[in-house]
Amino acid sequence: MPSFVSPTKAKRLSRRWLKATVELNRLGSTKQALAHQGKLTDKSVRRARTRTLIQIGALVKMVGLFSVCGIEEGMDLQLNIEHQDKAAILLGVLLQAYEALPDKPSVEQLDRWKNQGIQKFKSHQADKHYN
Amino acid sequence: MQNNLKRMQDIELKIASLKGEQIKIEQELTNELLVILKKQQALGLDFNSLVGGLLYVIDSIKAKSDVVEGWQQAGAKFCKPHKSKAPVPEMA
Repeated sequence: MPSFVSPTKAKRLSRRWLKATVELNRLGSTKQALAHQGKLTDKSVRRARTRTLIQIGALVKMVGLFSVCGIEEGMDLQLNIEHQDKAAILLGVLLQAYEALPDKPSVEQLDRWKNQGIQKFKSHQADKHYN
Repeated sequence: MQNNLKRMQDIELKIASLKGEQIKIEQELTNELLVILKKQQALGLDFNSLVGGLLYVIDSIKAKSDVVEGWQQAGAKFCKPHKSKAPVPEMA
């Protein structure tokens, strides 16, 4: 009976198939690890952005704009209709301050603002310490 | 982040290429098995019995059962190329 099956070919094919399977598993794991890393990076970028926005909010409060606009901590300035007005007032104040800015502040002007800011930080720290 | 994206794309390309290669290998191996089934006129046999037997064989091979050695020898014998008989030269 003539042989139609080549055992060496079949063995070679089996070995190649196994090798491909092992490689596919390895690549699958690497892909998963990379996807996980990507998710972590997205998360840390989002966290950093949120932290910056919170810090800006603290500066606005430090200036005293919260009380000017009637804003209190804990208010939802997006979903509550009454509080939305307060947010609008705050935005108006900030807009006016922004419009009053020179087109290109000089280095001296930036230095003056920086010094004013530092003074405010110091007095705020002192208030927190003694009150 | 950009680097990870590039690596991810490279990996996906490799995966696609390997899967394609695997499909080709599977087709070739299937053809080899089909040749045996046809040659042994096994395609007309009761399908369930054939599948059941095949499952038993697969399990035995995976479990490295003693019977496998005999099957290996029988398989090697079946696959061994047979010498075709050369025509006898006519005597002058």
